[in-house]
Amino acid sequence: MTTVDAARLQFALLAGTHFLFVLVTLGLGPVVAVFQSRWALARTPERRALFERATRFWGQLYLVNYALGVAAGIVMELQLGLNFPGLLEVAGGVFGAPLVIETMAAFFLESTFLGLWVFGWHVLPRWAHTAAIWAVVATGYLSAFTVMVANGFLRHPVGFEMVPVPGGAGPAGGEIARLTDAAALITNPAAVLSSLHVVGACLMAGAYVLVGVSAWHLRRVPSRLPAVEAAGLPGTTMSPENELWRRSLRTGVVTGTFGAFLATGSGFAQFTYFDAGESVTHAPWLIGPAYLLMQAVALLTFLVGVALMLLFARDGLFRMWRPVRRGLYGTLVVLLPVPFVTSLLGWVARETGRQPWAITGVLRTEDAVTDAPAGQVIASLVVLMGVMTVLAVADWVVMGRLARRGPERLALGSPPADALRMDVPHADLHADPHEGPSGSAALLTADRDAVLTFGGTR
Amino acid sequence: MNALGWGLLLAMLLAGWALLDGAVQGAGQVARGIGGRDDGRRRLVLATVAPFLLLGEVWLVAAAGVLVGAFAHVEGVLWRAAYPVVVALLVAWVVRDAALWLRSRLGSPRWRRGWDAVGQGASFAFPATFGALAGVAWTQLSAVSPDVAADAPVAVGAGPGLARVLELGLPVVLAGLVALAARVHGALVVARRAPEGVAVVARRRARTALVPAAALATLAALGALGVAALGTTSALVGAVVLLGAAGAALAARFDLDRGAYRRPVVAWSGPVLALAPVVATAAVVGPHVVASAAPASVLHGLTWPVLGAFAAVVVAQAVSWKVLVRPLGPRTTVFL
Ligand code: HDD
Ligand code: HEM
Ligand code: HEM
Repeated sequence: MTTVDAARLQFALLAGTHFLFVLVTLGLGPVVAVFQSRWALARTPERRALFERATRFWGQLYLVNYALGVAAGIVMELQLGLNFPGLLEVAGGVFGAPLVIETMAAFFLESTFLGLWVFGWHVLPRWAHTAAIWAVVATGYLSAFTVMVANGFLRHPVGFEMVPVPGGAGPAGGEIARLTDAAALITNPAAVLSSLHVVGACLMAGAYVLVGVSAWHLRRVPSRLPAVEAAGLPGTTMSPENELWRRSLRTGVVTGTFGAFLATGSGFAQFTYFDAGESVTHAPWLIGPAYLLMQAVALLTFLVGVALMLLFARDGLFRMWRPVRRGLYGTLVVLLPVPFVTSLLGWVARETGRQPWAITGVLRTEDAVTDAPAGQVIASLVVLMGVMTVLAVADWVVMGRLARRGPERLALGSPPADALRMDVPHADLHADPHEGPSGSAALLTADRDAVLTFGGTR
Repeated sequence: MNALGWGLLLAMLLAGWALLDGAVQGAGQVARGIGGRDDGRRRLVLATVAPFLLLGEVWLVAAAGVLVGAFAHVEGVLWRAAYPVVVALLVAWVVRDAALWLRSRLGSPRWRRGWDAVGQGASFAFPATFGALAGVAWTQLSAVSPDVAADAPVAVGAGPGLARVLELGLPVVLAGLVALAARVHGALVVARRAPEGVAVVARRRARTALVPAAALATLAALGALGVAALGTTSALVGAVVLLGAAGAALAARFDLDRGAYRRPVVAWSGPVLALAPVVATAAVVGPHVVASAAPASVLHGLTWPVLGAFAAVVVAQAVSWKVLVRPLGPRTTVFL
């Protein structure tokens, strides 16, 4: 494997990993924000309780996903310069600009607001706390857009000119790119249309998570309260838990159908700015099928989504004949990975279709790559991908457990004393600390309880 | 904003990271020791620094962004010279984050203890790899490097032997210094915010790290003198700063030994130690970094968006600090 191959593979694998998290962040974020807004606006105690549970349950999944999304994003940010220094050398002034704005404006603010949201839970007034999650969503979308501006420039470079550098040598024949038209860079169809397309894909991914998890629970939870059933009453009186899953499922179906609509519209629109036939020739066995798969998934999601929405009328879906209903729920659970696989293939199609150029028509990938020996790049590929895979799998295992556990014992938004006691085995509370003057163990334990239950420390 | 302005912005972002995230790194290093086998107490230690995590690490992300946008050449030189260090930094950072976020998500004591051990290692490796990277920067972006020395003023009788020693020694010394500085700083932040029973143990952890930190700061100051001898005179400022930090660390140790832990010198020793390596690095590599910034047209085009964003960030962070940094109590959010 040459340095170029290793660097490309590393970029593809790490970007793909990052994107799996981004899909959920961007897809689930708005849903959590909407749930929280409805919680803030709810008038009756039942609705308030329902939307509080929805916010905390989906918010916790969102956060656990977010944690690794950030970590994977950090890796992306640094490995770009690590493996493709030529890219910044030639086009730093153009391609680097959206990335600076992204980190300074979008990520910085996003992370700050997220910190405010998580750790300001019992401190901020409800409206301000709700505003914080909306700010997280808005800055998250802004960050995705700036990244797409950078990526769009690689795919379809506009708004720049090539100027000779004094030295006369360099990866692009002694020339570097200079930004001439920032507006053109930002309104690049490869950025705007693709951003809309990515948002469609993300909403679909968030929706499949909502629907899959809800369907899994609905399949288990008795659909009718035992007492109601025993009394022989008709109808669908629900346990509160059941109501949470139905509500989430409905929200997911609506979101996903909209996402599929957006992905379709912007997907076909993308064919206007690049030559699809030309792209396909770079990997006919891969890119053509990827286009077909995307179209099939979008179409089917849209059609099934509309059908399910029709079934929502008078709760028809939840009252279907039990075997059919269970079969449907089971299918919805199994389909959860579909938008994720589709999105990865979409990206591979886009990035492979651009080859052999790193910046179409301007800079070849082989000229942008680092001059580090192949062994070094392969070693970093193995190390980074190994670590990211382990962490990502651990994260998904945790998400799976939390999703299955349901809205019980939620850490997010619970009072601190509950959070700390929740799953600490009792014996542990009286264990000796490693060190300290004798007797300090009891002091520490008592102290902690005092802190977490009664009041401040100073 | 000219190249100097961008350089200052970069230094400011790194300083913010060292201060804010340094507290998290330090707490991560000492949480296991302070908490012992009591999971709740370990979480209490983490809870004292939890708000710093999301708000702190982005400063380094933003610094990387500035590097990409305004100092791509510097990034190129540094990444080429320190490729494995950068990879190690990434691994340590990512693992540290994962350990903090994931440890409390499942109830199994083994899961939690495992992540705590991993997190402790990564909380040490993260600042250490950053220090090593700074050490490489000292030698690659100052007169120690033959590429730079060509246009440095005078080399006063120091030769390639010294350069070789600096190349080998500085990354190691700075790695140790940054890691220990984070330990002192983090443990003192825990001591200030945690209830007294925990604070006692935290102070003890800080105390034992102070003398080694002072020793490493002195060594680093000698290194800065060496860089100055090779022709980068601004490194003298770095030497002074590092010696000052070493002095502060020793004074803090003296006061802690007397039990006078409320004295300002104790309170300040953490931040001073955390900031000193960053300030010294700015002094050592500053002239060359500023000289190899992106062309003025690029810097110009980015100025207003970036300064505007930075202003917004400062406001948002100030508000968040006001909201989040309060004594632990019944309304503290425990998530990590
Ligand atoms: C759930 C995911 C999903 C779905 C249902 C679709 N797409 Fe897509 N597609 C993506 C997820 C995606 C993506 C992962 O988000 C990509 C990769 C790069 C990008 O901008 O979006 C993408 C890229 C991408 C590209 C490559 C653009 C380029 O090479 O520059 C084309 C041509 C299409 N899509 C076309 C479509 C069409 C015509 C669709 C439906 C009718 C469609 N996609 C549905
Ligand atoms: C070259 C490609 C990319 C780079 C350099 C990059 C960089 C980063 C960085 C540094 C972070 C962490 C920010 C923090 O600490 O808060 C991050 C997170 C994020 N990135 Fe990326 N990213 C890339 C690709 C993408 C793509 C393609 C998208 C979406 C279309 C995206 C959207 C996001 C979002 C929404 C986050 C926030 C949290 C999360 O990851 O879940 N990124 N990215
Ligand atoms: C997040 C989803 C992404 C995925 C799954 C992805 C996938 C890939 C793949 C498969 C390649 C290798 C192409 C080949 O060698 O045939 C690649 C290369 C590359 N991608 Fe992406 N990419 C993503 C996002 C981005 C973004 C947002 C950017 C820029 C901001 C970007 C910049 C690059 C660069 C610089 C290369 C290496 C040079 C090249 O091969 O052209 N990618 N990516």
